Amino acid sequence: MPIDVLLVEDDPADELITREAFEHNKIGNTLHVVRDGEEALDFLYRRGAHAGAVRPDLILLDLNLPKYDGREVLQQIKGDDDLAAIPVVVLTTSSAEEDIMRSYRLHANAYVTKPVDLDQFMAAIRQIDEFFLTVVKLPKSEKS
Amino acid sequence: MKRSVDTYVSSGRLGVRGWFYSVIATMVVLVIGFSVIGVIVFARASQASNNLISSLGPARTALVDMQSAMVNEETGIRGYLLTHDTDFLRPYYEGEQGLQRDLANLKSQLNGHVRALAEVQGLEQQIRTWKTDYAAPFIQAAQNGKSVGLGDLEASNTAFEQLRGRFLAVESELDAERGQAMQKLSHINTERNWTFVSMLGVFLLTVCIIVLLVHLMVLKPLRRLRQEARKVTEGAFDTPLTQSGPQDIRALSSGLDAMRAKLVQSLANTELQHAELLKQKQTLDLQAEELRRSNEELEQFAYVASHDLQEPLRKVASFCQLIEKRYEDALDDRGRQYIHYAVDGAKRMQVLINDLLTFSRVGRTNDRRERVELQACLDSALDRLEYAVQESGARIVQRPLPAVTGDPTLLSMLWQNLVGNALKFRSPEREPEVSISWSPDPDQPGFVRVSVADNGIGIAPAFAEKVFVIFQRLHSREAYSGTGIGLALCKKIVEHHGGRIWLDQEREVGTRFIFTLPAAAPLPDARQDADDDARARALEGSTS
Repeated sequence: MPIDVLLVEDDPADELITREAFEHNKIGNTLHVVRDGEEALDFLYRRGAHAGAVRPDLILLDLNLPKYDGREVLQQIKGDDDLAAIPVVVLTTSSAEEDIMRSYRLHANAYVTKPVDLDQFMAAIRQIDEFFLTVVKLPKSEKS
Repeated sequence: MKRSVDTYVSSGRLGVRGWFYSVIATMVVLVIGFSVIGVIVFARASQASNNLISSLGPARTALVDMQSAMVNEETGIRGYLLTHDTDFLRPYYEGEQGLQRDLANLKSQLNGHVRALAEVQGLEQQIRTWKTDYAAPFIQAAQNGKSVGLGDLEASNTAFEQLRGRFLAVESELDAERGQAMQKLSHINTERNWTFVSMLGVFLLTVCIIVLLVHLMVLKPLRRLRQEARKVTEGAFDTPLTQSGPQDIRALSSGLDAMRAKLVQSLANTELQHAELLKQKQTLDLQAEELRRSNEELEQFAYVASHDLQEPLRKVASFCQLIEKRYEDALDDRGRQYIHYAVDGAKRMQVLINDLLTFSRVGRTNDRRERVELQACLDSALDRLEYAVQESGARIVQRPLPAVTGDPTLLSMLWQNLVGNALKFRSPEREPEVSISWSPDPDQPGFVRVSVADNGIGIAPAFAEKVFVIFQRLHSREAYSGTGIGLALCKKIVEHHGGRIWLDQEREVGTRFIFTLPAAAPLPDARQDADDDARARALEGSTS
């Protein structure tokens, strides 16, 4: 069963690589992309342009974002009773210990450093997808 | 320091003991003086009374006796002239004998009374005259049977009357002398009484003066010193102590004042030092603040390096690879090689950035100082190197390692680099073997000396120092991969812990690194060493 994935990513190049990875892996998931933290929250709370947005089953969240950065978005999601159930994978270039520590303290479900090597990047995206699509049981999405 | 005006300068030369002796001496002098005066006064009084009792009194009596003897003589002569009875002459002859004795007595008693004595001598002269002129011729005439003329008798009577008058004159002279003596005695007695009263007065006055002087000169300065000392005790350290009173009290004051001055000085010094320390602390605080800011900036830089610098690299590598994938058919071998180099360069740059970050963070992000089992650090490093150990088929020979003081993350990094190097630079001719041993550092007490030796390709002694320089490589990238940061990192970690690391240049086969670290616990004694050795051998057996 295909799922809705929300990619929060400000870099079009990274968005492109992630899309390539999804396509390359022949995953039939729907990929929604937002450019910054504010838009991500609009999407999740269905505000403004995103009034008709779907509730994502998985969020791939970059940390360094314009307006609200990834940490603030993560804090909002995990502080919200309703949204907290959605698994969040932090997908970022940073391998800094403090970023990893902080993300997990904010209850990120996983932390993945974007590999430099394209093949490894593809593999990482595939593994994330596989893991959340087939291995784990996700909460029943209350789609409206 | 200002000295207060001395009010009691005059008493300055005497000490309390001097004062004590002066008072005693004054009293002794007074007593002696009064005794002498008393003796003199008494002597005078007794002399005056003696004069009365033993001179004038008896002289008066003797005079009276002489007069009555003379009357008896004259009466006797007249009786003899009438009767020619020699019995009447007895008083005359007796009186003649007694007269000499009485006169001598009288003279000796009146010794010193010049006028009275002159009167007595006049009297004696008159008696002799009467006797030779009248008494003796009358008796001669009667004995010769001649009668004495009436005229002669009349003349004798007249002379005798004159003699009696003379007696009266001497008597009155003696009475006058006696009156004078009485008056003198009474005068002397009065004088004596006044002398005693005055002596008593002088004595009391002296005692009063002494009490007053002792009070002013000794007790008052003492009390003042006590009050001033109390003021100082209560905190008025700047009040100088007045130096007054006897010499030893002045010395005491001066000593106390010197003590106070010393205290004030050291107090001032302490305050000065305190101010100095405060200033230094402020400077240090400023520097600490500066350092903290600089560290924060460095941290910020490190973060930028880890994230923002890598982001473009990742793009370069990823899209080069995408080109390779997407346009595989359009690329020839040369094109693919170009892409390979671009991707490889980007990847190496990323590794370099990460290594440099790790290097810069030693002692900043990891700065714990705790008891660390060096063995546990080695074990965790070996876990991470598991693949390399298996691939090379290396043998790790070691005895259990001691506990040290330091940061576990950094120490694991140290082991990973040292053992990693030993495996990486192994000799193709030999089975790789890494032996790790340790002993207490003979040069630096409280430190352990750890040795990591391999049988690899070794390092030429010429490069013994160079290997620790960052980015210094001894081999081409094709032969051995790496950024040249590993040993620089090891050096930084060891030195951060206060230890040293060096290359054993005497080793002929392979490489031997030696480093020191602060021991965590007191080093075990020799017996325990022996036990450790036994265990080490057992362990070697099981690992090999």
